[in-house]
Amino acid sequence: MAPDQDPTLDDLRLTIAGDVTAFLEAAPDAMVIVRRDGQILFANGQAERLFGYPRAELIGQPVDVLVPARYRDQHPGHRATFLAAPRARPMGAGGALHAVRKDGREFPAEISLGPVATAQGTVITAAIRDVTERNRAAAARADLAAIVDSSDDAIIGKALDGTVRSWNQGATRVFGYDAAEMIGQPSARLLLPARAAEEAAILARLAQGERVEPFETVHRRKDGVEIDVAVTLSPIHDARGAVVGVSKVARDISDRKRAERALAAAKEATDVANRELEAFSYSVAHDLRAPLRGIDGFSLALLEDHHAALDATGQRYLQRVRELAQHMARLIDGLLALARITRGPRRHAPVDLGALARAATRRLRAAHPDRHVEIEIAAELTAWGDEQLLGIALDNLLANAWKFTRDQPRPQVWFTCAERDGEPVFAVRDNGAGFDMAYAAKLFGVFQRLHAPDEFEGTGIGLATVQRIIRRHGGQIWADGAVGRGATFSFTLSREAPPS
Amino acid sequence: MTAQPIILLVEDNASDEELTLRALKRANITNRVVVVRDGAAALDYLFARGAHADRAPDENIQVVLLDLNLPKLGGLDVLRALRADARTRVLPVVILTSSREDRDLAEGYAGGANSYIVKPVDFLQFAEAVKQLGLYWLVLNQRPPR
Repeated sequence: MAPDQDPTLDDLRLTIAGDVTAFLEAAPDAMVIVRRDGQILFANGQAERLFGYPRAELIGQPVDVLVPARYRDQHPGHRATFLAAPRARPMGAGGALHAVRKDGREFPAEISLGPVATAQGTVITAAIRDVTERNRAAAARADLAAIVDSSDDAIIGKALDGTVRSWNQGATRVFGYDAAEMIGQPSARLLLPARAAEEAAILARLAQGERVEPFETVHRRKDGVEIDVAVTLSPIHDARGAVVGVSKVARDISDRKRAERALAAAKEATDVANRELEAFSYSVAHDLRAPLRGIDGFSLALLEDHHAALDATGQRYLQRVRELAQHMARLIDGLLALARITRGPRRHAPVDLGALARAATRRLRAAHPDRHVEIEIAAELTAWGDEQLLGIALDNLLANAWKFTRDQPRPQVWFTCAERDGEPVFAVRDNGAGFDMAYAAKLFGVFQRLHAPDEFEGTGIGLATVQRIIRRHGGQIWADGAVGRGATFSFTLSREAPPS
Repeated sequence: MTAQPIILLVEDNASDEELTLRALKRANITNRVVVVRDGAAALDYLFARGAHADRAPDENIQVVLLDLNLPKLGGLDVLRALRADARTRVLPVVILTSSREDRDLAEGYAGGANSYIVKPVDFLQFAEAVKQLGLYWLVLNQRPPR
């Protein structure tokens, strides 16, 4: 009990002797004085309010009425125990005690008992405090503490000078120091010496009321290992809003950083490989074509300038040399085109496949004015993808159809679209030479051909190129056909942009 | 009276050089053709320095046929050096190369090339290309005043 300030102890004695009730009324807690037999002698105004009884009703009652019914039987026994060795003692510090109001509502109570010896024997003063709010606040604090402690993140409270004030289990897991080792210590021991100034500057900014964005840095564990951490620093305010400390949430992101570094290394390796491939393609383009030009050019020079020295067979051989050189040049161009498909940025936008097919058809008619092929292109052939690549694919498919219908009396080609499982399936069909389905799997391989060069010329790269383009669009391509009954090349294109 | 216009052919490959000369001859282009083998020699010739310090200063170079893939100094570097010098800033330069790479095309034009020709493997097509460019740059095209 904290009595009012007393000028002297004698003054106090006089006052209490004169009117003890005034003194008891001044107490902050509910005060009840009880006789040895349990009868209430006195109750102050706080007690009236706390228990909901008018004072007159309380006085003379057994104190047991203030004890919840379920404990009431035991209460006289407790009282007797107290009286057997009466001395001042607080009870219910843990919130275990309960009291009951007149209206029957119970509340957790903290009770201090003190014996007072009078001429007629000992009476007991009881100070009763309702700790409902305190318990609730404590429970809330305990909940928060449990949440903080169960976090995988390190959650650290510190003063503005960096001294650690609180340290959760997560902090122990992340940094290896336990709370006893860190509380009261400067938090700088987690920092790398080179970075100590960095955090001091941030603490100073927080103290000024500035907001600090989360950041990533490197800390050092107790065992000396450096770890990547993501740090969020926030100010802790007191009741008046002044910044009195800083909370630090640090997450160990070493695994993520390692994965990021591995990913970056893999990407770098891929980039290097791509650059090498590009250099290789470039070299192929330039260096392989030059000798072919020489072979072709000098063969022609022989044919033209030394005509008389060669008989018909010799001239025919040279003509073959030229044809082969030119064929090889086409192979090189085809391979380069194939390689180019996997390089470079790609667009993903609506593409009018019908328009691309009509353009391809115009080019074929211009290149082969002697051929008459009926090409029927359906209306509404729109897809999503890269216009340039899809143009190359259609060029190849239509050029194939054009080529393999050569021996038909009435060559026909159709470019259509049908729905399958809600997905558009595009198809280029012809009534040409067709192929044996037994070899269908070979159609899309590089340099794979189903016809001898003197049947149908070709490089064996076109369909491989088409397949690569379709796959780059997240689609599929397949072929159906029969010998002498035409071929159909069907493909799908994904609506979604493929990963780059 | 200016001297007869000459062609500077910058070409490291002897076969391509011979074929180009043959193609020019077939096209009845009889102008003198000066051949240099690398980029550094091309600049020496054009700026009349080094091994070419004593060439006639009033030579009338009508067009430079420039390969890209050259020893010492690449064709694009030669082009940039020419465009950076007042004496050769407007000299017609035709890139004549095996490369049909987009990047080379873009850099060639960005570097100030007047034209870009891809050498075909088929000699007949090559000869036709050389004939056309000879006609264009030696006959049709009017050079800027000196």
